Amino acid sequence: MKTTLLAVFHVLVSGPVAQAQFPPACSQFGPRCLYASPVAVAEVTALSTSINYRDAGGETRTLDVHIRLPAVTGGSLPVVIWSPDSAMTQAARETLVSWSEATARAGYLTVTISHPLRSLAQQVRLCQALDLEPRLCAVFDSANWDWPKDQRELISWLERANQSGPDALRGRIDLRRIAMAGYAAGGDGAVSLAGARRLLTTTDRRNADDFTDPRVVAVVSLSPQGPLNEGFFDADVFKPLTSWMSMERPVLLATGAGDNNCVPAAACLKGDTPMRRRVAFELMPAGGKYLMFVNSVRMSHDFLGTLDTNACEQAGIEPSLCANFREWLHSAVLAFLDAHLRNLAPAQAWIRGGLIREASGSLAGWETK
Amino acid sequence: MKALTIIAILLFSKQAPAQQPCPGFPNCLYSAPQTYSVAKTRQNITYNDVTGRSRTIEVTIRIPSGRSGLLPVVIWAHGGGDGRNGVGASDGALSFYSSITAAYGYLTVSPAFRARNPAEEQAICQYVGAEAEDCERINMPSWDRPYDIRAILNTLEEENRSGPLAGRIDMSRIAVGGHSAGSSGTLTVAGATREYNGKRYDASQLSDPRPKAFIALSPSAPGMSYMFDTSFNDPTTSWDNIGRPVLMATGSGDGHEQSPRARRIPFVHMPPGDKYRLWINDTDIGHGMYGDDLGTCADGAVAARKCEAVQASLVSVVRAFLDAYLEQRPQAKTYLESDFIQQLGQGSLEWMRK
Repeated sequence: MKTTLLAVFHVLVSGPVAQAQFPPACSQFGPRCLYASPVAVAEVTALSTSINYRDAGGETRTLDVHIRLPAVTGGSLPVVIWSPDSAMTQAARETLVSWSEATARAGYLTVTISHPLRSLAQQVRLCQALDLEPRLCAVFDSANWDWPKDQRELISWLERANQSGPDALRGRIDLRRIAMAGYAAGGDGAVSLAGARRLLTTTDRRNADDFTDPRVVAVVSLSPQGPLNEGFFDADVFKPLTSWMSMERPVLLATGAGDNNCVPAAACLKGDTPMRRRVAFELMPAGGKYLMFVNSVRMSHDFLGTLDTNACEQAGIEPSLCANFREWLHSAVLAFLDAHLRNLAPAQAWIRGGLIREASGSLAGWETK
Repeated sequence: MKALTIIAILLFSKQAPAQQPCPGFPNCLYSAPQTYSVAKTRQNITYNDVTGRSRTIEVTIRIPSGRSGLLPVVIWAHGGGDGRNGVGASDGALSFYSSITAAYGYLTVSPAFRARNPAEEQAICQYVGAEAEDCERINMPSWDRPYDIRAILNTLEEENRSGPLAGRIDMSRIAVGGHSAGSSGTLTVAGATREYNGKRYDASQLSDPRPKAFIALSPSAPGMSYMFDTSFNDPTTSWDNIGRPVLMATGSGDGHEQSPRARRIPFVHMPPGDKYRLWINDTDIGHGMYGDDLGTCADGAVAARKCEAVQASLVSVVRAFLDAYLEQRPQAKTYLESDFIQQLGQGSLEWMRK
C-alpha cells in the first residue's frame, strides 16, 4: 500500500508505459496493453420499459428498465445487466451510463435497471410479510432484499421478452449467456445471485438468505461489500460458514485504496473499507475468481459506479489519471465478460495473465484464483 | 509445558515424523532454558488524565523469583469494552499469559482498565468535542488504555528509582501485549493513530517510546475500534507509523463482532520490519481463546487436546518473540525467521513475517 504515491508519481511522470517495457504477452493488445473487445458496435438503439411484479407482501413493485441494443445483425446476443447502488435514484437511462454504453458498444445486449426505494411504511409491511422479528426489522435495509429480487425478476422478464416481447428483443436474447453486473448494492445483489448467502431475515447461517439464480453465468461487482455489513458474514467461533463459500461461478471484483464509504471512517457500521472489501475475494472458492485492486487513493468509491471523469477532475485529480482509471476498469470488465460469456481466447489470456498490471504500470493490482 | 508440546505435535501431525522436522526446536516449538517461581503483588496507580481529573487503575505485578540482574518487563493489556472494575480485578486480567511470562523471567504487569463513571465520561467527551449522541459511541476503556499504559510506564520508572524494585527494572527492555481492545491500546502505544469523533490522535499524542516490542492478540480491523483504512485522497491508515517489532495472532474463529479475516489487515498495513502474524485456521478457536479464555480452554468449550495444542503454539511464538526482542536471544530470532510453527500446524497454522 505504501507504494501508492510512488506509483501515481510514476504514472504521472512517465504516462502510459512504453510498449518496449511490456512483456511479450502484451503484444496482441495494442500499444498500451489494454484489452479492447473485438466486437465494436457503432450503432446502439435504446428502449425503455417498466416491469411490475408482486413482492413478498403482495405489493406491486415497479422497475424502470433501459435496454441498449447493439446493432448486430442476426442471432441472439449475450446479455449484461447493470444494477446500481441504492443511493442512485435516477431513471434507468441515466444510471451507470458509462458502464452500460461500454458493454452495449462491445456487442452485449445491455439492460440497466433502476430500483425503487421503499417508503418507511412499505419497509414495515415487507418486514411483516417476511415475518421478521422487530429487532431484525429495526436494522433491516430493504434494498438488500429488493435488489437481488429485482434482478431475478428482470431475468424472468427477459425470458418472457425473448419469447413474446417487442420485435427488437424477441429471439435476440441469449438466455444462456447472462452476466449480472452491479455497483455497490447492485454488486451485492449480483454476487447474491451467484450464490453468496446473506443474513437479512435470519441470524442462522445455515439458513441464510439465498438468492442464487442459475441463469446468471458470470458476475461483476464494483465496490464489493466485505463481511459484517449488509448481511454478509465471515466465519466465527464454531461457525465455519461464510457468505461466499458457495460461489462457484466466475466473479470479477473491482475496488481500490480510495474505495472507502465508511461513515465514520473509524467506526464502520455502514459501507466498507478498501481492505475489508478484499476479504470477499479471499473467502470465495477458487475457480474463475478475479480481484482488481487499484492501488491509488485517488480513485473514489463514487467513481467506480459513475466513471465520471469530470467529477474526478473536479476533485483535484489529474485528468490523465481520471481517464486512465476509466480505461483500466472498462478494459478489465470487458475482458472478463468476453472471456466468460464469449470464450474469446485473447480475453482469457489477458485476464489470466493479469495484464492490467502491465497496462497500469502496476498501479492496478490483479489477483486470480 | 513439555507435556503440551508433545500433545501439540501429536495433534497437529498427520503422521509421526521420520526425522526431526525443525532442527534445534523439538516438536517445532520454541522453548527457553529456564523458568522461575513467581511472587505476586497488587497496587494502585494514580495519574491525572487529559482533563486533569485523577484516575486510578489497579495492577497486578508478577515478579520472577531468583532471577538475578535487571528484569525485562511485559505489560499485558486485557480486552473488553466494559473495563475490569473492583478490588482484585487485575488479578485475572490476561492471567494465563501473565503467569507464563513471569515464569519465563519477565517482570509482568497486568492492569485492570477501570470503567469511568458518567461524570468522568462526560469530561472526556467534552475534551474530544463530542455531543451526547456522539459521546455514546466513544468507548471509554478504549480511550483510556494508552494513557493508562503510559502511567504504568511512568510508575515503573519511579519504582526503579526507589522501593522494593529499585534498580531491578530494565526500562530499556519493555514489551506491551494486549488482547482485543487491549491490542488496540497496545498498538496505539506502538504508534497507531486513532480517530475519535472525527478527529485523529496520532503517535505524537498517544504513543510512548519506551516499549521495545508489542504483541497484539485479536487485533481490530480497519473501521473498528477507532482504527481506519485508506480512503479517497487519504493514503494514511491507523498502522502506518508502527515501526517497532510487532507480533499478531488471530484466526478464523476470532470473530466477536468483527470479521476474522479482516483482523489480518493491520499486519498488511504496518510497515515491514520485525512484523509477524500467526493465523490459526480453526473455527473452534474463538475470540476469547486468544486472550483470557486460553487458560481455561474457553471453559471447556474447546476439546482439551486441541486447546493444549493451541496453548503450546501461542506460547511458543509469544515467548520466541519476547526472547528475540527483549532478551536478544539468537535462537529465538532464528525461530521467528523460520517456518517451524507453520510446520507444526500441518496446514492449521499460517506464519507470516515481513
